[in-house]
Amino acid sequence: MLMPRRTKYRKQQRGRLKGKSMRGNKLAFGDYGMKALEPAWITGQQIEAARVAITRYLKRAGKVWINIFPDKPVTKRPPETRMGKGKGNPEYWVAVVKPGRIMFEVAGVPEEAAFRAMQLAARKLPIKTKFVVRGREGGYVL
Amino acid sequence: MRSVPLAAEIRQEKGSRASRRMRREGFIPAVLYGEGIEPMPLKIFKQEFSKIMHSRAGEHSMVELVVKTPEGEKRYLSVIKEVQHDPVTDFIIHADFEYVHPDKPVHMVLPVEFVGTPEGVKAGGIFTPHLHELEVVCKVADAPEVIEIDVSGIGLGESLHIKDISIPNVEIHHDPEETVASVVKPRGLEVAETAEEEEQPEEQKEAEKESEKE
Repeated sequence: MLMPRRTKYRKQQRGRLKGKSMRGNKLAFGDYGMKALEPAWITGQQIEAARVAITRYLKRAGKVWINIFPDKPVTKRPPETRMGKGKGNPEYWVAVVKPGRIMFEVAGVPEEAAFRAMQLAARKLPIKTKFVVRGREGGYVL
Repeated sequence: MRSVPLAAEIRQEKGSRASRRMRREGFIPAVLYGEGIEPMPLKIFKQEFSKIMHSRAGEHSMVELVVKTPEGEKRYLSVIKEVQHDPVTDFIIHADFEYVHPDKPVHMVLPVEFVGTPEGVKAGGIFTPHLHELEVVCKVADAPEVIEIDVSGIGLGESLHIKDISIPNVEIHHDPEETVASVVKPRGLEVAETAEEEEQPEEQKEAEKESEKE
């Protein structure tokens, strides 16, 4: 699963998910991409599931880029524990995604194949996304 | 490169509220600046500008701004310096134009178009472009609309570098060793590996999982 190798601090505060993604909102490497339309925490497991869906559909053809990385630890209290006694233990890792963020990119495959692969990958994610193409405005909601 | 005329008006209202109102009315707030002229806040027609953005040169087009002033029409040859898009909807929210002198060399960004099918792709490789636009310095008249690069000579595992490209009267502002495009080997091309997996059906699932993690 995707997670940082080592971190300075074990636990983080939750923060707020305000605004749009002002960076990482354009295709950087590939010709096709998947853009987030909603804010969310995307877990390492969801990223991995989406990546596997893309790779399997494309039968390892083309090149895939993952532009997000789960670098934020999320803690959880053990079940049936009373309040207090400090913050829970880190359970999983998430990537903070704001609307407009390009999460996955693909190159070297036909557009239809890229669209279908992204459609399958989008179903592994908890947010609405759209398929974007280099040099074309707008996009198609997945 | 041929310049495209674009009508513009001097913008009196400034600020985010006025800009938002302007966008609702079908205009785009813009600004013109450059050597020898005072910065000029402008408003341009959204439809007209969108047409330019959808042309072959796109946001690298050369524009002749026809600005309506109280003294009459003034024409400014300019390049599109920056176009701001909404991160979610991709609508154009602002444009920057830089005034250029026709006889002086100008710093520009031009789009790249790859021509031909690389040899490596015929051998089963994946063509990967690294640069989609090039920073160049040249006179406006010498600038091509699109930089066409012939990639038919790139073999499997080979790359094309900046030093391999030459455009007459145009100076490319990149490191000569920078990669423009390459043909990479696809991950599933190894025949020996798949043959081994077929022989060992018990280990197939594990091998698949491992290779997918890569």
